[in-house]
Amino acid sequence: MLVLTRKVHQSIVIGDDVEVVILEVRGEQVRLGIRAPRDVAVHRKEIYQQIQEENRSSANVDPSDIPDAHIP
Amino acid sequence: MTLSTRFGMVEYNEEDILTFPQGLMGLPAMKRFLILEHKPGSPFRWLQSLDEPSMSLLVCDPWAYVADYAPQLRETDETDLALTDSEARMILATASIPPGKPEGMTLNLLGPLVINLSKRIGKQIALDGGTYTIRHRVFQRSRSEAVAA
Repeated sequence: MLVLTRKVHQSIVIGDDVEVVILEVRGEQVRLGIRAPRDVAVHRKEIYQQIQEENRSSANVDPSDIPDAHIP
Repeated sequence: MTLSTRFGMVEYNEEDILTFPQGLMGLPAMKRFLILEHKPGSPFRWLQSLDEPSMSLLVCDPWAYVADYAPQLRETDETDLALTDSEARMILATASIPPGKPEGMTLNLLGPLVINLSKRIGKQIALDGGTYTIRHRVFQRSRSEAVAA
């Protein structure tokens, strides 16, 4: 993994068209600004992984388990 | 045109195709889909992949179970989807059901699928904020389950 040290308001560029700016550092939290083209999806990793799991799980549902209407 | 799916052969036309230019999260190679009915009148549908015909995701009209669902789209998402107020938008949530346990169904309210029906494009988004969860339990736990938990 490439490791770089940056200060607030400094940034890094990835390729020609992705820029990540350090906006604020407060204790353990870092706020980042990300500039990327529209076809580059940017997500928080843990959220991305969980949504990915749900997508796969929704593809494994047995149609006979789908409720007909509201189960009281 | 016909597609062989896990539900059998499906007939479709070019204009039925929905495109997700970024794919779905974790499934970036699947970009073209059909929406198939589960049963007439049911809030459930299948998002059937055209690129990988064995893949179909169970999706649901979230308002059928969560009447006050109010996802806040980011401006960039609306731009990506060319959504304007007048545009016909559809929002679907993926649904997961543990085998044999429909009462354990959950909806992904944090990562809905937003679709521009007139332009036939869609995008899976991740909502900001802590309002919605990825595994929203739809039905209340039964008493025995509550005791077991």
